[in-house]
Amino acid sequence: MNTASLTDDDRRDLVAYLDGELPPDEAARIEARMLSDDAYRAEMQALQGTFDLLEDLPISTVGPDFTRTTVEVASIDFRRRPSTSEFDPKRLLPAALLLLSVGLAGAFGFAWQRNRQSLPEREAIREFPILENYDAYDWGGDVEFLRQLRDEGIFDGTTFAAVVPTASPAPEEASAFDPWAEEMGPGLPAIGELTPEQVQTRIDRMGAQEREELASRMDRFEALPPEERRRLRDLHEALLADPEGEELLRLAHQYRQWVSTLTGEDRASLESLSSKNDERLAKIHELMKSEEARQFSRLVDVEVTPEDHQAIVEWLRDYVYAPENERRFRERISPDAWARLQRMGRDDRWIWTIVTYRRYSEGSDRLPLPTPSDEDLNRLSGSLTKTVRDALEKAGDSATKLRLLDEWMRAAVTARMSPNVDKAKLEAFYRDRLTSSVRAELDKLPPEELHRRLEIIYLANERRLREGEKLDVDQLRGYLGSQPNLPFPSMRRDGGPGFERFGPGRGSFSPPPPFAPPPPRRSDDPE
Amino acid sequence: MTQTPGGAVAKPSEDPTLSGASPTESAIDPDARLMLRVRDDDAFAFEELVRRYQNRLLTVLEHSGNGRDQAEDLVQETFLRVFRARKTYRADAKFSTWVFTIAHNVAKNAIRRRSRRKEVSAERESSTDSAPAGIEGLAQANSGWMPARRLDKSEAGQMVRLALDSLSERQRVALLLTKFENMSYQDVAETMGLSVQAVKSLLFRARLNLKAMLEPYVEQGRRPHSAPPDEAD
Repeated sequence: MNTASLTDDDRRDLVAYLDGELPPDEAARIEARMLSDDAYRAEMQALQGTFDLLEDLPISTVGPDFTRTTVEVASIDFRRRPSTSEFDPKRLLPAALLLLSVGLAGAFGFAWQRNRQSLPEREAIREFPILENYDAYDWGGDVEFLRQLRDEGIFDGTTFAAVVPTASPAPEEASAFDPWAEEMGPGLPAIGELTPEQVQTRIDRMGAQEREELASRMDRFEALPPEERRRLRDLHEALLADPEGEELLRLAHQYRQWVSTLTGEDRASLESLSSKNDERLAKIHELMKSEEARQFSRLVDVEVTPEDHQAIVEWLRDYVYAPENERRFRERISPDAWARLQRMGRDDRWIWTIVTYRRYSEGSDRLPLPTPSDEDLNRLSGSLTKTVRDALEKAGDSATKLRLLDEWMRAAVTARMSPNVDKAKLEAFYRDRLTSSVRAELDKLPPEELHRRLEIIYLANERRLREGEKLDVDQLRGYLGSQPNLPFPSMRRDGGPGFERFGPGRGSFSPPPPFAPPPPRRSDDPE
Repeated sequence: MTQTPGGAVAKPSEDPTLSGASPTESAIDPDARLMLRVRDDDAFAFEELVRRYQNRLLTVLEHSGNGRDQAEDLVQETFLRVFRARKTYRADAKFSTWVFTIAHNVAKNAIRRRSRRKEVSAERESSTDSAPAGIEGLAQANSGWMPARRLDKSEAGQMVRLALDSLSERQRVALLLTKFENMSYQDVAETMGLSVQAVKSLLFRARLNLKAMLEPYVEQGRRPHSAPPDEAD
């Protein structure tokens, strides 16, 4: 067979013909030549024959687990890829909003579907009680540490409802004023033995997101070193056996929730003390005070040092505990609630006294607080750093000072009562709960101010939700103005300082605030 | 029609559902419909796509010069990218072309990474589009290969594999896509980021090189199931 007469163009056309890439007229031309040209036909057959040999290559087949692991890899990648970097609402893009708000549930559902199949199911069922409380156990140390937390009264679960009896103390009301309730959600896992069937039933009833979360915890649990897995199991067993297990478990969840609001650096400092309970507790106290001061500073929009905050808190505490004022509070608070207040520690009681006092005036004219005297104000002023003292002095007349003091008091109450706002929650609030126009207003602000306002709105909304209401547009505008309202409302409906206009207060008050007709109610009053 | 790893696939020109510039839900290919469901976070659709394409991708990626384990990793990486890109998927392209384009890019990146790590073998590095290694040399290098002996299917497969290995990476990929995926030149061009004309030249050289290396075995009838060319056609 002599194919030497064939050119490269001939062969190129032959290959294209064999690949079905020639138009019909050219294909017909090739076929005609094949009938008359043996060498041409032989070349075509050789090209086709060697090409057909490729069929001797084995068809590759993936291993039995390939499909499952591939889908798992995708689902794990999905979980890891959403950014958890520093929160900056301005960086939120519409696509991210769509993905997070619409796609998340579906994607989580799918991820779970795959993970659920992939989990060693018996393991998941066996470890379910630990997985259900995984984060709490992860941070909870040991039973001894939880007992110390309880004894220190840091997360003692003291709630407004525990202090203030309501006219109809419905169960939902009891949790409605628990500052932790919102964080914990309604279904804090109860401790107790569960049969595999009960676990299966609970898993079956879970929503897609819960299942995804459970699968994620299983992943994390399995990734722990053996000794750490053992610690979690031991803690669970110890809580099961402890008569106070339920309470300690709740504390563990509260502690975990609080830890999740800390910066990475603060979390790391706590983690480094995990084997030194006393030092860890001291660090917790320190971090809480520091964060409370920071939050107070954000709320009052004045650069307040921790020392200033401490001075203001101590002044407010002394003010509440002053015998004359305490008598006034006691007159307005029911004996039962008063008795509960007395069982609280000195550090907390003043806050709850103010809150209770205000709560009792709900539905009627709010009760003004006893007016502090000049002597009181001077004492406070003398304990502050220059910057904050100047801010107080700059307020000018006594009425303005009282207004400022009222703002500080409300900020102090808010900073103590409201747990830190988790960045993710703040982000979700910005994304899901605010209208585009409110977001647009916020976006005009510098980042720090945006964050501050957003936090104020969030806290105010949380407070309103606990009271069974929600913010309306006018109230929102009050938080967006040049002088934003504070989450804890004024003691007076007209938005003025919550102190009495007249009256002796503690000691003399001279001169009394000038009488003026109450200003018209501000439309942005959150109440 | 050639048997493919995932089953027979019609050529685009034979598939009436591919006509039309703006495909609707009913007009697009079934895999593209599945991908649209993946875009909407349908877990089962994603799994089904993985099932449909895993062996097809693996076959092309493995025979195009990657080791078995590496090819599996590349397939997994391909699916991961498919998944990550699901929200931006548009059904105006044939799904198989899209997924093989991703696979090709994944494989190219892997080759670049290996090159940087100097892990490419000297043999593979010396391979060029126009300079195929001789089949005799390859056969001799493979111990136990006796030219006079009849080859069973497994051995024939190895021989073809050696011939294929002597081609350049681009020639291999183009050949495998046309052979196992029945891709048109247009689809190969899209997948490999080349012009149709370049693909035509690439495949022409690939087929000639393949013929040069395997023809002696075809002509001497040493393949167990080979038929004379005139009978095969």
